Amino acid sequence: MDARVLPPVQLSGGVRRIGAVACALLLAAGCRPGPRAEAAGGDRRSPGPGEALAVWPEETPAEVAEAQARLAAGQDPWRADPERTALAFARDVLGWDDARAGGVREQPGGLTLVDVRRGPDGPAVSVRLVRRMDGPWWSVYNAWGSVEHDPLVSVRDGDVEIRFDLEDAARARVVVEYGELRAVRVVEAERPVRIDLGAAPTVPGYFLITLQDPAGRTFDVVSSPLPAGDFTAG
Amino acid sequence: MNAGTRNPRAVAAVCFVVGALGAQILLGAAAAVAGTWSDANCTGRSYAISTWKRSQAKAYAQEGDDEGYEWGGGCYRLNDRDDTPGAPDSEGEGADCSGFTFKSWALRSAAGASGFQYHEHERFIHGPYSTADFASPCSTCPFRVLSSKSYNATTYMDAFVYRMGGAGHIGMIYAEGSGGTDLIVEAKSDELGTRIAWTDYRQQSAYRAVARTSWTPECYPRCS
Repeated sequence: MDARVLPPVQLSGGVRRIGAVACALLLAAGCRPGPRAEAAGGDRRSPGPGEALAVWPEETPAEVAEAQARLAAGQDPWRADPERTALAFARDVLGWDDARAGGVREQPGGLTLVDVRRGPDGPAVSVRLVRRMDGPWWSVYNAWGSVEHDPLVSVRDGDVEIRFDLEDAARARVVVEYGELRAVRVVEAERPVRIDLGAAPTVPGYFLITLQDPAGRTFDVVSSPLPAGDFTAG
Repeated sequence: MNAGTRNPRAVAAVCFVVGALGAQILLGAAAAVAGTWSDANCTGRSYAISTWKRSQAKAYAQEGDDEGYEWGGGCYRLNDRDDTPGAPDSEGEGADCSGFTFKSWALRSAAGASGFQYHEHERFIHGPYSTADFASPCSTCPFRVLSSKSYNATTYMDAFVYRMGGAGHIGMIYAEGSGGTDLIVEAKSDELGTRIAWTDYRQQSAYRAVARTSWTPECYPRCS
């Protein structure tokens, strides 16, 4: 249809003002170039904020959606308490059945920090929690102990390389998980851990390094969510 | 106004705008749920540039002084303070050492690619290079290890890097000193942030000197 034959649109002054404001807001909110708009030009896409989700218990968008429905139905009410969520992580992932929480502190950027200790005098790690769902439920964003050196993590075209300081550990357990794909390595000497995923990950994931003493008890941890695709740090 | 005389196209247009606005508001609410410091602050861009001088890199790196540090990060809000102190790996402010070098050297985000790419400070990007890559560059990487760490062999905005097992670091020469010390600009740690400080990396045996290649000459565009 030829636009020139369309009847003129008659809008009141109020409607025009609302429309103008709405359009301005749309332009401001929706048309601003963001950090994820830089994939063009053949350059490798870099991780952007928000792409990595969480370490535990859900790390992919599908798992988050499934959990959202389950939690909204009233299951696992402890997920609404950051301290209880951190303690559950310590029990289930670190194996600290006697974990104790040392208080809850808010951190910049919507994160909440819970210091968790193994028993009354054992080692402590910082567990950061984030709300990744539309509701009051917490997820473990990362757990970062007292490692002296930040780890090196490289995910490039499906090849994962992780280097970290073994400190005084008898062994380290390294877990890398992207959705259905899960790899576990146990190392007893300081050397790079290399994992071939077969292809670049298409869903977010995480890595988790637990340092263990000769008795097999975890005394330190480094973990972080990973975005889909390539990632480099350290 | 009589509803029966409303133009359907106008009604549809208003409905579209209102609907789209509602969607934006909902998206905003979702973002608020999942928001981190980076979500709220990192709106910078990266784009190709044809020239990049050492002096420009130095000025760029200097702006990171007193800002934060973030493992795997890369986004700065330039206000001379760490916006997210004591929060490692939390999508907070700053780059890590290799990411800061990547941005200051204006490296391209494709591994091994030559040329320059400007990354605004507010851009959340780390780049494809770790300290292991800087210490042992690939054949096509636009940086190389220098055969010597002497003052004659290096100049400002070259870097010192080490990678031994689980530990590694890289810092760039802000200004050369003497006696084995230099003023280094570096994303140091979550505790110390991004800083300019005197260090003795030059005389530490673990460190090697590495230099970006293909800097644009300082005389450009009036080189004789």
